[in-house]
Formats: sequence, structure tokens, C-alpha cells
Amino acid sequence: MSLISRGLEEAGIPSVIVSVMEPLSSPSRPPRQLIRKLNIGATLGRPGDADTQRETLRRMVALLSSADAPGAVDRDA
Amino acid sequence: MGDRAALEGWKPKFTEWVEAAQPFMAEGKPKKAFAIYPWFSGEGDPFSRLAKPASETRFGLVTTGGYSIEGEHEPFSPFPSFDDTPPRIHTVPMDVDRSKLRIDHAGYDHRFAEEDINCNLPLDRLGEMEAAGEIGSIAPETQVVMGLQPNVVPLIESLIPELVARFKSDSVEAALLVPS
Repeated sequence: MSLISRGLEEAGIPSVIVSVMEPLSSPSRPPRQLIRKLNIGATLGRPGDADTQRETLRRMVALLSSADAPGAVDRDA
Repeated sequence: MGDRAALEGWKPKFTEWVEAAQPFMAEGKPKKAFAIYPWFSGEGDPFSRLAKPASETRFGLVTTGGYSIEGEHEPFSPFPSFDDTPPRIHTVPMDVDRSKLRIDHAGYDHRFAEEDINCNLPLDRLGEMEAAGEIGSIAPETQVVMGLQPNVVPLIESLIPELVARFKSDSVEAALLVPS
């Protein structure tokens, strides 16, 4: 997914990834990454937890807007 | 593209890895195989700025969840492919008949997505954000690919240019990438 992000960026389309497995997403240096402590198979939020799903998407959109250099990261505390 | 330029240097490392990894894969120990995987490192760090506020931007969604629509798509192969065959991209409309969605990916537990598709394919959530004006619009077609693709050569040479072309023809201005 990190390589897809880089390829889109190279073609002029800004992009952002949500990652719940940083060891898999970081080695290829994606341009923007939201790193969350969520589950594989529910990377936006658990079933029925619309609030968490929405929060994840909102933070992705916010990172798209706020990042001013490649390698931008927003990380769960 | 920068990553394309780095492919030649990576190919021999991948070939070496496939040989070393095969015994582990055959024993059903993919973790051991991926512990020695040669991560691809591209040249430079591409970056594009978002040109306008999110509320005026058209978004596109990419997922590596490996979905297909029954009766429409040939299912994805559930296991990693090591050869140079160009990976397929399935298009799933935002208003897809959800009873026909299947998950072909063998690399994650489907239990969450089967209970609520929005866990990693946010059809409802993005529709709500569009209706609320938080995002300008969401492209009606989601681009679905398979995760677990250790051979990056066909990804970089074929799949990524195809995704770019689809997004450009859909007038997508920013991409949300959701793995599973």
C-alpha cells in the first residue's frame, strides 16, 4: 500500500494511508501515514463503532490537508 | 517514476529471497519468510500537496482488502503471487449490493468486515462525510486490489499506472488508502 501511495503522489495525486501494522507500512516510506492502534481486519474501527471509523477517516483527511513534507505521520498516543 | 528506477537493483534481491523463503512457505511459516524479506526502497520521496480544502476535494478510495462481487468478478487468488503477472483491480461501486460482496483475501480475519463492511471498506462513512460536506465528493467507484504482493515489479510497472489512470479519468484529486 505504501508503494501505491508513492505512485499516486508521483502522478500528482496526494494520498494518505491508515496503518495498523507500522513494521509493514513504514519501510517503503509512504508520504502520509495515520498510525492507529486498531485491529487487522478492522483498520478503521470495529463493527458498529461508527464513531471510531469516522474519527479514523477524519484524521486521514486532516493529515492530507496539514502535511507539508513527505513522511508526515499522525500517530495514536 | 522514482520507484521504477530502483526496480532493477531490487530484482536480484527478490529472486534470492524467493529461493530462501520457499522452504518456509512450504512449511506454512510465512512469518519466517517475511522476516528476511528485502523491503523495496524507492528513490526519493514523492509528495503532492492538496490544492484546495477537503470540503471541495474529490476523493478516491483504494483498499487492499481483496473484495470481489459475486457474478461479476473472478475471485482473487487468496495467496501471495510471486510471478510477474499484472495484478487485477476490481471496481466496487459505493452503492454495491452488499449481499454479493465476497472477501478473497486469506491474510486477515474476515469476521469484522462480515459484521460491518465499514470496518475496512467505509461505504457508509464516506457517504455520510460527503453528505455532511466534510469532503467535496467521493468517486463512485472504489478500487480494490489484493494485499500480500511480495513481488513489487508488476505493482510498479502495471498496477500503479492503471490506478493512476482510473483516478485521473474519475477526476479524483486525493486518495484514501485503507489496508485490511
